Amino acid sequence: MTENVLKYIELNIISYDEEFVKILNQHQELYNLGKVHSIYTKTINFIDKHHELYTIASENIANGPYFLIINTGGIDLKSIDLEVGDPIKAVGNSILIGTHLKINIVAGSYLWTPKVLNQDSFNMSILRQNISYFNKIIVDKQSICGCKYYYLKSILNINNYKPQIIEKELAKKIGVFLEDIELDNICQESINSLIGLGVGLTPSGDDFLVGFVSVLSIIANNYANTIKKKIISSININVISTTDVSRKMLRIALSGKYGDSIFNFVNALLQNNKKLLNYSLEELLSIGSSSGMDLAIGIIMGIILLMKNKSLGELRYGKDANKKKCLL
Amino acid sequence: MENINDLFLHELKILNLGTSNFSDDLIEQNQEVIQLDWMPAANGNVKLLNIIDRISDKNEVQKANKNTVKIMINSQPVLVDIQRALDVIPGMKENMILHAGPPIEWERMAGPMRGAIIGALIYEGLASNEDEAIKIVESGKIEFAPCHEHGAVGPMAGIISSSMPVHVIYNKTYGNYGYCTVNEGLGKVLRYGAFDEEVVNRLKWIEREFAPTLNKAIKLTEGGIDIKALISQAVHMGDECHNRNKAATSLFFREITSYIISVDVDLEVKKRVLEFIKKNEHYFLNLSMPACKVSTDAAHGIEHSTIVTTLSRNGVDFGIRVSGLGENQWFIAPANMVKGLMFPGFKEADASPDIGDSAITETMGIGGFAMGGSPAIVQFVGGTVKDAIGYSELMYEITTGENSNYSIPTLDFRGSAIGIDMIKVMEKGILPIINTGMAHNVAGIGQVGAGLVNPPMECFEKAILEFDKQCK
Amino acid sequence: MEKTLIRKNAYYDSVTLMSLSSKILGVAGVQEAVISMATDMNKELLQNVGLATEESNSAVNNDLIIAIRAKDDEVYNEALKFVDELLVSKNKEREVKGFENPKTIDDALGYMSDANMAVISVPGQYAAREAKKALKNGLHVMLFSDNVSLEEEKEIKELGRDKGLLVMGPDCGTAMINGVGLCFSNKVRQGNIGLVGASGTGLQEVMVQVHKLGGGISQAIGTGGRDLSIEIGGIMMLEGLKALSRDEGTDVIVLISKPPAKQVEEEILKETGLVNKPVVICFIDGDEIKQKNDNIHFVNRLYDAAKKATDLTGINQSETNDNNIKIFEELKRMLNHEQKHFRGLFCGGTLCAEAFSVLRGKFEIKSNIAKEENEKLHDINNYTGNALLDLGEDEFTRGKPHPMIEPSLRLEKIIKQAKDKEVGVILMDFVLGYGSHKDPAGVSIETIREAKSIAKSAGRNLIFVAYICGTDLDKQNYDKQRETLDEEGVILAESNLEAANIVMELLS
Repeated sequence: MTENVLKYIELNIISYDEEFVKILNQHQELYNLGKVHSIYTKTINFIDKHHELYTIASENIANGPYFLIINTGGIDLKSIDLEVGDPIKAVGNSILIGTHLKINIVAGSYLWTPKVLNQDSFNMSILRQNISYFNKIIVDKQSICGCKYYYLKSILNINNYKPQIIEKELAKKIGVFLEDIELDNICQESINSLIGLGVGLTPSGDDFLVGFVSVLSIIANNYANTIKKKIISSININVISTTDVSRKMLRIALSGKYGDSIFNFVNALLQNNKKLLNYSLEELLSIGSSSGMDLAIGIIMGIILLMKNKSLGELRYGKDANKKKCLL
Repeated sequence: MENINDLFLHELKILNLGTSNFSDDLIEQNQEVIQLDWMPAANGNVKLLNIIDRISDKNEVQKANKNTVKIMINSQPVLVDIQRALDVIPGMKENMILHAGPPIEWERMAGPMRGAIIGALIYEGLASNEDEAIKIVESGKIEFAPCHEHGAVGPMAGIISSSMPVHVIYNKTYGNYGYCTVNEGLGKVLRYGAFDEEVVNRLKWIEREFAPTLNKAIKLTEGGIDIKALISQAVHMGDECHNRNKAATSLFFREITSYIISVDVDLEVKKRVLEFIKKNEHYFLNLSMPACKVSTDAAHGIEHSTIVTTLSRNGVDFGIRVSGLGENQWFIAPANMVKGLMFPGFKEADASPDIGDSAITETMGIGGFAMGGSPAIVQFVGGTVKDAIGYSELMYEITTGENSNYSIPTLDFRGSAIGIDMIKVMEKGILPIINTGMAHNVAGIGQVGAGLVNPPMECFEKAILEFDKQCK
Repeated sequence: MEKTLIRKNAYYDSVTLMSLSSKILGVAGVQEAVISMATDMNKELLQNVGLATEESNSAVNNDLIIAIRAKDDEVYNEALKFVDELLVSKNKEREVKGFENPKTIDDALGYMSDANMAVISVPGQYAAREAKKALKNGLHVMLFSDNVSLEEEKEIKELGRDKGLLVMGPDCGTAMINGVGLCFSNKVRQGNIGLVGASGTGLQEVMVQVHKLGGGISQAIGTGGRDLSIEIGGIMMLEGLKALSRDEGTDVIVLISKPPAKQVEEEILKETGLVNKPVVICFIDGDEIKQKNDNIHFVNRLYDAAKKATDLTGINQSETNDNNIKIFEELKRMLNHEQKHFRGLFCGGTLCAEAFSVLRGKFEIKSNIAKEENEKLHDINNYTGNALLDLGEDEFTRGKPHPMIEPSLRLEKIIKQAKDKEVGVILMDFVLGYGSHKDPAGVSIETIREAKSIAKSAGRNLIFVAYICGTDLDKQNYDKQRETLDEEGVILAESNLEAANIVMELLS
């Protein structure tokens, strides 16, 4: 029966993003794409030879850049005989992982692209309502160690919370960063002092920035584009000191891409639909333990910035910009 | 060399083997210490100990074992057909009768098995009564073989004769097949050695009406019925799929009903077929067993593997097979008596020794191994829920993996212990726990109780000695 | 105090890290805690708040830093407990709560993957196997079990040496590593004197005497009694010596053993010559060896070893035990002319051996530990004259606990001596410390009283001389032990050597 060991477990691809198209298209038969970096119940990460991290995730994970979503039918990916370091190979319309898993592009597989807002102008009063609704929820949420302290103290003027050192430091750095932006005084120093700061695998400062920058990409009006460009030019992604995973998230955000969970929340903030808002916020907050909160606060601060500049009312949030990205 | 000096720079983390006085004093000194429940390995047999050490030091053994268990876990059993034994079971012949457990001659067979064989011969029309049946057996015209050597399994006596319809289970991952008859229900049934007219008539009905209907129903499904998924759910619903199959049978009933209804046969027939499944809460046993069988069969024959792929009994002997040893190489010792609760009206002396292929479920990590998640079974076999959980937890000590497909709710959804390693069994002196029914030692009376039983340690000793011999 | 802990490439999920940080901050006395990945900004933050250490500064992006500022060490250690508790996987946590304790070393390592020491006291025929397993897993071994064959001992010690691991034993009763007493060990001051000893109570006596003299012990490494035999060749004594010579916490080294085989002795002297710290060699009952090296000091008494070692560390405590002299004259007068003999009833083997070594020059003695044929006690139930019994030897302990664990086994022997009209002095040891009985003086005192009254009613006086091998730090309450014996008129010596000298004084 030994020969049976070589049989693959086959799973089908639900969606793939353009990065996967790139690596699948440019390589010939049995090309070695990279090797397995880590294996979890619902995701398998692998890195290519440029140390780029790709994620193969099960159907119940929110889609995003560098994600390949597969239909696992509930199989625990950890139960498949895979090990960290196993090679990833592309063969025709399939990807082979180790010697036990084969995932296939099938007729129903589709290309995922970041969702795009299909709305030209915004109702400011709805937006304000939504933000105050968000404020209410955020006060009740148990979450420590992240950017929440900044938000409570500086935005909501709530002072009954005793911060930890790292929270105080974050609050200070976020304050400086936002001030610089408002004064159009963006500099490498204020951004870099945020990067890598905070707890977690993706430090809070990074998460905040990812949320913040993503808003600028989603609502890509002229003002947002200007700010984003300045931010991008102030960050040397290869030089900053942060964790591998976090560097990857920042890189994606700076390239103008964002995952569905971020988009859904931004989109919900613009709609008069509490249920949708609630649902998308929960989805976002479920990321990591403070990461979701940090992302959310980054997003809200991004929105507030755009509101302050009255750039939302006039708006052109740049469908063109997004189209261009899709063509890459 | 530097290690000693390294030790001087670190806090002690201590394992204490032996008298707990020493660990008590270490705890008093605020040291981190684990007290081991040390027992002499291999029951203190120094020769076996040396062999165990030699084997467990080998990397290829560890690797092979891991591989074996992966195959077991990744197997995907699906019910794809029901067919006449002669037509599907490899090596089956018209004059052949398959039985439970390791090979055994007619003369040594247990009462229930003999009864079941007589019944099978009458059912096949090869004999018209008991005397004729015995005569034909004694004439040597009938060939006996273990189910296990033909890809099949059978509960209790486990008798399969050529005309009997068998469930056909396909292992989607590894492409092998397994077979098991249709469960007849409780009471006077062939598997407990009964062979009167009622029994034979029921078997005939299964052959003529039940099996063809089920066959058509299965054809209507999309690629069969996923037995792995049913077991996985049933384990969450309080079954351990050996002695308790209530939930699994219900789930199967739910799956199959709409297909049976869609079959193009008389409505009365459909009613009878559905009624038969509904009334027999052990129906699923004859699906869970072959499902386990295809998984362990796929995992047999892995070189260097010390994982047990068969636990089986014929009412006289207990036999085990081991993945890294020969396909039909059995390691045999006298079967134990089952200990547990007797049904009203029976006493322990009425019971036959341990019998049946159903311990294939334990081989696959359910049955007794999963009884911690099956509190209701406790009333059936005696003991407390805590005991049951304890047994399930204890089995992790002698297994190589955890099967997250079959996770046990009461253990916080930990995957059940899977892949019995004969080396660990011997080293720790912990035997696999089997959760089983008891047959009356007189043919045809039926089930007299249920309880717990272990394989004899001797099976494992013999297997290890053989393994060692082949290693050299 | 500030401390940091680094976990390399630690990908813990953040929920765990968050709850860890709140737990640590919840410990009373923890003033500040930062648990974060070692990015530059986070390190800078640590620097700014004064929590940075050399370790945290050299950590890199994907490492996890756990920095804690605590009131004191105790609080820090308290907080650290949560670190280990939370950073082990959930699965394992469950297992720990499981059905039974682990049965094998492999399983136990699943719960304690960083275990570094195995204490083994299982029956001898299985002990070597367990020791080998422990060594293969990188654990140091304390092997209390006896009945391990010489071949096995050699095999495991060679394995240990090749892996750079300690193999203390077989038949090793005493060790103290990093201040932690293993098996039978006294609690003593930590300090800069390192011991390697082939005998259990020998090590205990030196530890105790060093403590009494104001010194302290860095490490006490046991080797087991046969280490210096020709077959084993002193493997562990040599390894222990080398380790102590490299150990920064050790300034003076003491080697303790019965006189070894000649060729092993040479080997050890050769190695000792390479050590650039003072080494005190105590071969009990050994001949004086001509010293060729200023760094090497020979003694043949345990007390002298302790004294020399403490002297070498610069500690010089004056001895205060001259007040006994007058009492001796009084006591001597209490004995009648028939009471010429003493009987020693010992729990500690090396204590017995030392007493024997001291007294044999002056008296004719029989003992079950004697090597010379004419001194050997053949029938342990039948003796006359002077006798010293090591009650821990096999012939007494078969099927029973060791008298250090159960000193009541000695009681019937006391009564027996009391009835012997030739006996004037009974010499006893009381060994305290971890592993030993919780109140050895207490369980004996009734019997001592009874023995005295037996003698009294026969018109004699009986003198008890005792030595308590223990310190004020031991768990048995040293002062209480002394008091108990003192109240019954037992003459208490300050060392085992002194106890033997008192006996000599009384009967000469």
